[in-house]
This record gives sequence, structure tokens and C-alpha cells, in this order.
Amino acid sequence: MKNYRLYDEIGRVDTAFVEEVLEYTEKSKRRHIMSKTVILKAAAIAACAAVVIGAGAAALMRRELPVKKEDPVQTVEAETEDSTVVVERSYNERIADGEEVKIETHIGERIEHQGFAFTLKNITVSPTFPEGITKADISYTPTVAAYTDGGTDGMSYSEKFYSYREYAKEHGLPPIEEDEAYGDPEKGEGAYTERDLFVSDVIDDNGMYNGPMDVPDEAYKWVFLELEIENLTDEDKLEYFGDMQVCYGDYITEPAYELYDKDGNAIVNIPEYSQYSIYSLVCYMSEHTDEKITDDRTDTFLNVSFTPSEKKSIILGFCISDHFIYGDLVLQLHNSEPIFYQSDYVYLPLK
Amino acid sequence: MEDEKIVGLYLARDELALSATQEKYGALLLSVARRFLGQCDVEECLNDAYLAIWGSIPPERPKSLAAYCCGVIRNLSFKRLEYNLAEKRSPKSALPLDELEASLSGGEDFREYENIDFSIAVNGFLQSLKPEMRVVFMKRYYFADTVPEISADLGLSESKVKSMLLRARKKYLSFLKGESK
Repeated sequence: MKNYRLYDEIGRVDTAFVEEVLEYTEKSKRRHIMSKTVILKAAAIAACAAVVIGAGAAALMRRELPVKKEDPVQTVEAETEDSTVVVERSYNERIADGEEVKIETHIGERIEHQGFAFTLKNITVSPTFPEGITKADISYTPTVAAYTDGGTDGMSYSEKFYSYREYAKEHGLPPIEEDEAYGDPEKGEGAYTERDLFVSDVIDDNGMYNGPMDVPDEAYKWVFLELEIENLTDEDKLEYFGDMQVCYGDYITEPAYELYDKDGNAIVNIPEYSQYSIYSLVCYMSEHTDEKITDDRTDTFLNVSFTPSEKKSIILGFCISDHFIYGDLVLQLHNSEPIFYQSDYVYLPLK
Repeated sequence: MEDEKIVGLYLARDELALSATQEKYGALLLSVARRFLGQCDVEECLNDAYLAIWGSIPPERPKSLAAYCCGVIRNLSFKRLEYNLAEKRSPKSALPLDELEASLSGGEDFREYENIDFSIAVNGFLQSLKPEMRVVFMKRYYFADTVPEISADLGLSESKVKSMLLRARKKYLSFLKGESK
């Protein structure tokens, strides 16, 4: 008989954890319902808006929002001169994680929100890496992982693996070497690597490809948001990416996105079933003196934090690639309507 | 009826407590039991759970009756499942038992962690997790929810849930190794 002692022990955890699960689940369900309402509203607004910045800046500043912990999920709207700020907020701890906040604004518009103000000065797109940032800063190192879910959806690992191989071959995508993905199970070697996990996850039940591990340099593109933030002090720590987690296989199946520049010219066309997503993201300041990039692969894919320290202008740089989404923060590009998947995603209709 | 009042009925040894519990949490407890047992033995397990709750309050005075009842039914269901598995009464386990145990110990049992006080270690491990990951972990390994169910409940993609579970299991192993030193 197998020893399920550990599983048994989990059943004896403090009931506070069980209570947390029940409450958290209930809140999530409520929030999900609320999100749909807000998303519809935001989508309607954004359809005619010049620029939508999702997320981030407000929550990033780590300022407490005046929401009581007991408060239910709320939607707050505040009219500004030429746009609407839509902020969905729920509980303090969620907002403190940089989640559940969406802000819409236009280039040149000054936004005041929760005790600070910023102006989106410009948005640019670059196909090259920013100075001081290399691919190594954003590359993911596959590690050995014992993980199987083969068979749960009717496909074995090998089936998925070969589905990917075939698909990659057909579409000219980077191959995965067989001996890299497989050790020798007979010898007790790691039969599965994390790459397998990825491969497993990127192949859906229909065998649809969802992204290779390796992205050629030319596939990277960068979107820079130049924000002018007022009254930053040494105590303001911009720490956006603290909770980034690798989202294996998250993908967008909506067809044909386009990225527009500020004049409305299409910069990038994204073919159907491809994904135009953040591979990783790097945040740095326009003046680099306080830049600090840390890469914590033990928990998150890439943590970036720095202290603005009296700087008033910052640039948020997002590295995106055709085939990846990594991280909770996702820059989603589109042509007509913004697409909101999760409230902690960022969406930019750059038009 | 509010939990406090129901607990008060238990403390007063009023059998209305049982019907109130059944009315308020019967569906929840049934769903937990079904995770472990399917349709088999569920009713019996549920009755055992009510009896256990009746027998344990007092002296227990649970702060959260829902969580307390979930704990009782979960553990009774698990014991029943374990019994069924041991006697090969159940052809297969629908639980992520192997997934958790294998990933933590490379397929071996937990003899290498014999010196660990698991009741402390598990709580410590859970405390070390961020709330979202903790909830995902608990839903999977405490409530035996499936990945699609967790995904739907929490509004996360399935792949993200898988990723979080993988990372949680790695952390768990790492945590246990640290505890065993």
C-alpha cells in the first residue's frame, strides 16, 4: 500500500487555511462576475479612446487605496478632461499586488489617481533591445522537473511532444531535440524536463501549437511607455513585477491583432493563431542611475524593481515576442476592441 | 442561521444543530465527499461526518463552522478512500495523490522525512505561500479539485494553475528538505 501520509497530513492543516479557501473562492467568483461588467464598460470606452494603459502604474506605487478590507468589489469611475479613468478595485491586498487595476488614458493626458499623478508622454516600439539589456536578462532556463499530466486529457506526453514536433516542422518553428526533452527513463534519468511541461502545455487538446521555448532575437520587440510621474520621492518604489509568474502556455486565440503607432499606422500585424505577447518585461528608468534589475528564477521569472529617487520621468519597457506570454502582466495589442483576459493584464490599443 | 447560532445549538446539545448544519452546509460537504469518493460511500461518509461534528462540538468551538465541517468530511472521506484503495475496492484513484507524493519524493515514500513533524511543517509551508498560490494548493490537495475547476473558480487559466501547482510542489519539497535537516 502506498503511503499517503503527507496527503493525510494536509487534511489536518489549520482550519484558518480552509476558511481562507472558502472565502477566497467566493470572492473570486464575485470578482469574476464584476470583472465582466467592468470589462464591457471599459471595452466600450476604449473603442474610441486613443490609448489605454492597463494596470500598473497606480498599483505599482504601492500606495494604500482607501478601500476597507470588508468592502465588496467596487468599480470607481472618475471623469477627467478628455478621458475616463476606470478603476476596478477590490481588496487592499489584491491591489497591493498590482492587480485589479485598470486605467485608461491618452497620450499627453495627466492622470491623477490615488495620491499621485502621471502623464503618458509617449509610446514607442522598438525591434532592438534597450541599451544595457540583453537576451540573457529575459531568457528562461529550463530546469528538470518531474511533472506529468500526460493522459489526463487523452494525450500522452509523447503524443503531445510529437504533435509539437510535427507542428513545428510544418510551421518552421524551432525544433526541440528529442534527447533534450527526454532522458532515459530506463536508467532513471529525468524523463521529463520542464521543457516537456512547456511543450505539454503549449499543445492544446487539438494539437494546437502555442509557443516554442526559444525565440530568435528578431522576434523580440519592445514597447516603451514613457510616463512622467509627479512628485516621486525616495520612498516611492516602483516594484511592479514582484509577483510575476511564468504562465506556461497562456495564449490568445483571437485572430489577427495589429499594433498601431501613434499616427494610426499599423506597425505589426499578427497572424491568426499566433500570439503577440510579452515574453518578459523589463522596467527601467529613462535615466539609468538607479536602475536595478534582479532576476529571481527561484520563484518568479523575472523580478524588476528600482527606486525612482526623485526622477520624474520613467519608461516602462515591455519586451514582447510573437509566441510567448510570460508573466501576469500581459501587454495585449489589438486593432479595434481591447481584449481583457484577466484583470492583472495590461492592454494597449496603440492607436 | 448564522454559524454562531448553530454552534450554540451544538454546545446546548440541541439536535436542531444537525439539521441546521445540513441545511446550510450539506451541499458543500457532499461536494467535498464526492471529490474523494465519487458516488460510492458518500451518504455513509456524510452521516459519519455529522456524527463526528456532533461528537466534537463541544469541546470544540470552531471559529468557522464551514471550514471545520469541511475538515471533518474531507478527512473522513480520505480515510474511506484510503481504505478502499488498500483493499483494492476501488479500481482507481481519482485524486491527485500520486501526483503530490511522487513529485515530492521522486516516487519514494516519505521515510526520509520521518523526523519531521508534519502537522507543523505543513502549516508552516502554507503560511510561507502567497495567498493565491496557497489557495490553489489547498484546492488541489486538500479539496481535491481538478485543475479546470480551480481555473474556473479563481478566474485563472488552466496553464497558470498547473504552473502554480508545479511551483508549489517544488516549494513543498524544498520546504520539507529544509525541515528534515
